[in-house]
Amino acid sequence: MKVLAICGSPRKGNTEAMLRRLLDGVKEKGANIELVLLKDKKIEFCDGCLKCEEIKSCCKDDEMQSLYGKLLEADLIVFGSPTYFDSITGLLKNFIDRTNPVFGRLKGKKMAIVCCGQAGKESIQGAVDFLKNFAEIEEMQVIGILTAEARNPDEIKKDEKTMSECFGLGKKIVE
Amino acid sequence: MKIVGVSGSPRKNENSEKVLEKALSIAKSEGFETVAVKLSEKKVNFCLACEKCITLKKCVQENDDFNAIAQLLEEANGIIIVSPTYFGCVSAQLKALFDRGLSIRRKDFALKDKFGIGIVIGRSRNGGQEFVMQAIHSWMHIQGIIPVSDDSHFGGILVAPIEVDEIGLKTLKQSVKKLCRILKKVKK
Repeated sequence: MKVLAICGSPRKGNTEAMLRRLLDGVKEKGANIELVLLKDKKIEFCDGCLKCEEIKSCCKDDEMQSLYGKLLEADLIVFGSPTYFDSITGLLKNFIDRTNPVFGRLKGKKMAIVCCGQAGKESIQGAVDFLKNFAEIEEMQVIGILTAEARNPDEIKKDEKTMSECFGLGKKIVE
Repeated sequence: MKIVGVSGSPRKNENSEKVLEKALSIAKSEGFETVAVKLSEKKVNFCLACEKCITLKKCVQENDDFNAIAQLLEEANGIIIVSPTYFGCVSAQLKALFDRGLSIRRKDFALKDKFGIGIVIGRSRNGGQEFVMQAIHSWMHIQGIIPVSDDSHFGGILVAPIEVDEIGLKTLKQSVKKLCRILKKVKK
């Protein structure tokens, strides 16, 4: 089983820490893991040219090209995002816009969602809801959702309860 | 009084930009000064979450168009946000602008008490336009902008091609007219 985690945070902070702990749980169950940090990738904006609807690939020659194969090979995709203005980050939104060439080919895959935020549960739910809608559009199955409140980059690592929940969710989603 | 309209589509002269032009021409005919900001012509990087805007009161990234756009928004009385529907949310280009808007919020809520409307275009009639509207309204609320509607629902909701979407064009017109009417009332 292949598990791909996509981290949509522009910094090395709480979202990444949550995803890493979740992947520890996945690893313990023997599944293959890969973590992609979008902050380290050069991914241009989608131009909306829609050529991908014919050729099923993207004309842009950037680091997104190596991610299409990973998306298609994964059995389970974990999306992680902090909450910006009650939704996912622009960085993750751009990644999702650029998945248009594989639209329809993620069908049946599983999804897990990890979101953190500093403006309360309702605000974080906005980011979760976007990803749930994305799962619905792609006909993916959401099998786990975890949210946590945090602000400063190192905060979540000290939150033993959340870290333990991340580890537990990692184990659960590959069972 | 000034109305600034931002279009979030990467596609030049397509539906979103046509909608923006239509919206601003209505505002102009109502006597407003108008400014169009087309993100297809601008460069706006992602927020780096560096938090420097807490002390700087503007964005530290000076190598793109964001701070100039922020200046225009601050000078506006009314704000129109136009977005295409990409996976049930605003385009990433517009989300990048929204996220960078944190620096405007940290400038003592510089957009507070302005009025705004959202106009959303989708390729399908049921393409998720209202989720996009919600993202626009959330951004406005978090900035302290007061979103207004088309007098009956949530604002301008259109399906492409917009030229033949009579119902959608009506929601656009009513939304812009309402924005103009409110701004005039508030000025009195």
